[in-house]
Formats: sequence, C-alpha cells, structure tokens
Amino acid sequence: MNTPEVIQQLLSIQKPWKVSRVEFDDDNFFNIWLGYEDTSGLSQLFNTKKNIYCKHCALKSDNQFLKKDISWVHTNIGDYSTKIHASFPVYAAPCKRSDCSLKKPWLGGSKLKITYGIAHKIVELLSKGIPFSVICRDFKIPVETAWLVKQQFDNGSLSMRKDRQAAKQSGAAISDERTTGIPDTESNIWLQLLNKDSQFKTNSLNLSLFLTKIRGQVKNMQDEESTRFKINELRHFFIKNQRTLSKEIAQLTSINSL
Amino acid sequence: MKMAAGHLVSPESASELIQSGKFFYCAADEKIISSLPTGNWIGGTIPYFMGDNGGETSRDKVYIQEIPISNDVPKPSIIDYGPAALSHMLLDAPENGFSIILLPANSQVHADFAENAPSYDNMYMKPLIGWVTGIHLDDMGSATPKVVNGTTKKFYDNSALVMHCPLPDDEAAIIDTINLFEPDEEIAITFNKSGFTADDCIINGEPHNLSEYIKENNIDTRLPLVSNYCGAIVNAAIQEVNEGAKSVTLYAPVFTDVEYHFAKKIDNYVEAFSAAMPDHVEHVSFSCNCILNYLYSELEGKKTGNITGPMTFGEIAYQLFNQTLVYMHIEKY
Repeated sequence: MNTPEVIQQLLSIQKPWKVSRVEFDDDNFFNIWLGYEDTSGLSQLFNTKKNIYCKHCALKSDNQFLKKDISWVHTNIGDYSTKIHASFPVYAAPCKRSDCSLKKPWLGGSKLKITYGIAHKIVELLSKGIPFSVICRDFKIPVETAWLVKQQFDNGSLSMRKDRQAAKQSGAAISDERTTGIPDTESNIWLQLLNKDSQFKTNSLNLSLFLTKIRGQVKNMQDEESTRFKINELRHFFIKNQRTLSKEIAQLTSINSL
Repeated sequence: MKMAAGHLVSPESASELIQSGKFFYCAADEKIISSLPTGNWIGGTIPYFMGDNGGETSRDKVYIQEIPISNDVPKPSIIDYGPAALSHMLLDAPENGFSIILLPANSQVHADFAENAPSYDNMYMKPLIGWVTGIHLDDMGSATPKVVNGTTKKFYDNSALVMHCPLPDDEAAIIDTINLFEPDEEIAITFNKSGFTADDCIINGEPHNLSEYIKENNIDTRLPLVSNYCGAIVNAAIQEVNEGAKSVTLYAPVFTDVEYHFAKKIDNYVEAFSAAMPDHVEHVSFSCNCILNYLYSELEGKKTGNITGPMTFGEIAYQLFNQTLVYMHIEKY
C-alpha cells in the first residue's frame, strides 16, 4: 500500500473520491490532494443545462461551487497541520442542505476554508468554553474562519447531526468542572429554559440577553444534536457566571425538582 | 445607590487627575477634550452631562471617571478597533473584569455594533459597557462625533476605543440598566426586515406601514419602540418619521425575530427614575444616560438621584440601548 492509499484509508475516503498525492510543505503542513473519478455516468444525469443537482440527495443545488479546485484546513494528523486540496466536478460537490451526508468530515464548503470535520471540532471546543484564540492557534487558522464557523452553526446552516457522540462528550467534559448546583446537560431543565414560555425568571441583564439570543438560534436548528450543543453553551454560561447567578441557579434546581 | 460614578470638572482639574497616572475615561466637547494631557485615559466627544448639580450642557467642562484597578491584576489595556476587528474585540477582554467601549455616532463601527453585537464573540460572557459619542446639536453638519485614545491623543471617527480592565478573582462587574419605558402590550409589531429603517410591518396580525400607522394613530414619537428580551426591556428610539418615503428612521435597529410594542407614556421622568433606583448598589463605577431622555424629559438642571455621567447618542450595556440609563458596579465575593 503506498502513502496516498494509507492516507485514504486513515481518513475513510471512499470511491469515487481518492487521494491522488500527498506532500509536506515548508510551512509544516501535510498536504493531501483529493481527486474524483466518475465512472458511473452520473455527470450526465445530474448536470443538466440549467440546474445542478446534489449527487447525494438529488435535490437542486445552489451551485455554490463555481470552481472545482478548492483547499481546506483539516484536523491535524499527528503533530502536523493538514490541508486538503480537492479537485472535482461541480455536480459532485456537497449541496447547501445542512444535513446532506455528502458533507464528509474531510470535505468543506465553498465559503469555509476548513473541512466540516474541523468545523465540527471547533463548535465542540467552543461549547466546552475553549477560547477562540486557543482553537485558532492549535489548528493554525485565522480567527475570522473560526468565527464564520460559529456564525454558520448559530444560524443553523452548519448542522452537528453527525456528531451525536461529540455533543454528549462535550457535555460530559463540562460535568467534570466545579459546577455546584448547576444541573448536568442531560437535565430537562435546559430544554425548558430554551422554551420562551418557561416559568424561569431572571433580573440578570446578561442572562436575559443571552437567553433571548440562544432561544432565537435554537428556533432555526433542525436537529437534536445542534440543540444539544446549544444546551452546552447555555450551561457553560451559567458555569462562567455562577458567582453572579446564585438566585437563578437556585431557581434551576427548584424548577428541575418539580 | 449612594455614590456617583464620576464628576463634571474644569479641564484644569481633569488634567491634574490624569497626571496622577491613574486610569480614567473622559467626556467633553471636542475642543476641551483635545486640551487634556496624554495619560491613561480614553475619551469621547459630547457636551451634555448629568453632573453633581443636575443636567447640564457645557462646552467648557470635562466629565471624568476613575477606573477601578487593583495592584493584584494586570493594568488595563487600551485598544482601538476598526470595522474589521470590532467583532473580535472581546477576545482581548480579561477572563474576569470588564471592558469600556466608546463608539463614534453615525460611523460604520456604530452601525455594525448596533446590528451585529449580539453575535460578537464572547458577547454576554464578558461584561461590556460604554456609550456612543456625539456632538452639540447646534454643530450638526459641521462636526463629527469622535473617540480619543488618551495615551496618544489620537482621535478616531470610525473606530471603537476599548479599555479592557481586569479585576481580582474575588470581584465581579455587574452591568444593569434603568429603563422606565414599559411596553403597551395591546399593540404587537413585527418587522419584515431588520435595520435602522422600518416600513412594512405586521401590527396585531395585520400588514401595515409603520409610518402611516404612527400618523393615523397620532403616536407620540418621543416614546420608543420597546421589546422584551426575557425580562430586559430594550428600546429602539424613533429618530424621524418620513412621510414621503413612508418609512421610520430609528436610532437602533429593529430585528425580524423580535416582537415590538409602542412604549407607555411616562408622566414624570425624574419621579419615576427615583422610584426605579436600585437600593442595593453602594458605588457606581460607570453610568451614562441618553440624550433623548435629557431632551424629552427636560432634565437640564434636574437631578436623577446621585447618578452622573454623559448624556449620550446611544448607551451600551453589552449591546446597544436607546433612551436607557446603563450602569456598572463592582461586587465583592
């Protein structure tokens, strides 16, 4: 097995995609070139004169991939930061649907300069309260990129559907912190709090504003896993502000016990 | 609430304070603020104040407030943020502390902050308070609102100036508002698009044009549109009703996913303000109030309790507020 084949196996890349070349560069990046080999004739079927359809879900695509060559930063392999360079026909690109399963971890979007795998990792780390600066330093990506990921997640265009396990794990990680009186992420109290008809009351300005924002974001989310990440974020807010939210934390406990 | 945040003083007195080497924020008319010496301060242009003797318009005085600092933590840092960097400013804020932000009115950073602050990184996680700088209303068209970095005396009309202030572990900054306006729940308004200009909207389930509705129903435009953010009342003040364009210009943007109401009338602002003052706060470390409250409630010469500060073109308590008093105090744990 040659090196591209090993990398292809490590990243679980399956046909018609294949790793065509790998190379280290002077900036300490491990570069992976990804090709697309269509032997099925689907290009004729899916690429009509007027419309481009997502090869996976067969729904009309928004033609977001106007170019077929694109590069994304991917999660590190060992100590090396990794870049994936993909070359594929427009019709083979993932569509904009947040739950399109063509959104493999080693692929990215047309606007993100990182893969979906790393985007999910960023959301997971943020929900654990890891600062942007640390995440960007470790993945060697600019703050603007991580920020764009956060925005796409918050407005529902980046789904966490594939990361059920990660969502649970991030909640578990926060459970280990000093969180006296703050219910864990599995508690129903958080879903109640996300409901605008909740009986929960607060005089804390930052909590009122934060709760309004997060309720609005959850309204746009289509899957349970994304909501779970938002619950982690809400719980992290209580942990970060637990000194000033003692009345609210007592209220959580009392509503939770009803 | 017993102690005032800062004081309205002569430029000479302000200069003496600045030369002590301590950290301050200042507010004054541009000519006066230009005359202050370099030092550890940030400032903004405005000639309207709530001073120790009540509301006052002055082109000769400086409002100066010392920033509480401790020897146990790093000194505050002063950073300017242009439009591209503004959304990441709280990355520079201390994990425990607060940040004071000054934004020049009618600038790109002002508009960006007004529309997007809720989605800024770390927003609501780290305390952020401040105000939108302005000018004397007689100078409209001949002067622009500015902010100034006192360490360099550099003025900006399209950057935010932020002082990031760390606090010791046993202290926390608490930010709150006093907003006397209450929603008239009988009329519910939602908008088809977000922004500083409002036109087509849904009022009690029926499509309307806001400008026409205001005119037809003789709505008092000195009263803001108000919305309830999980208990916090947030205002969007009405700047102008444009009958020709059939639109309403606002001092803060309205958002599509928020329900708004017209505010109920306040009979006596000063009395209502005194009744609304929290009694558990010993010392205010920062406060400012709105120029519209100053004008509409005719606060010149009148006191709003012991609260002092600039009367501003927008108040910031995490996000932008209108016609609201914002304040901060430090609590010890």
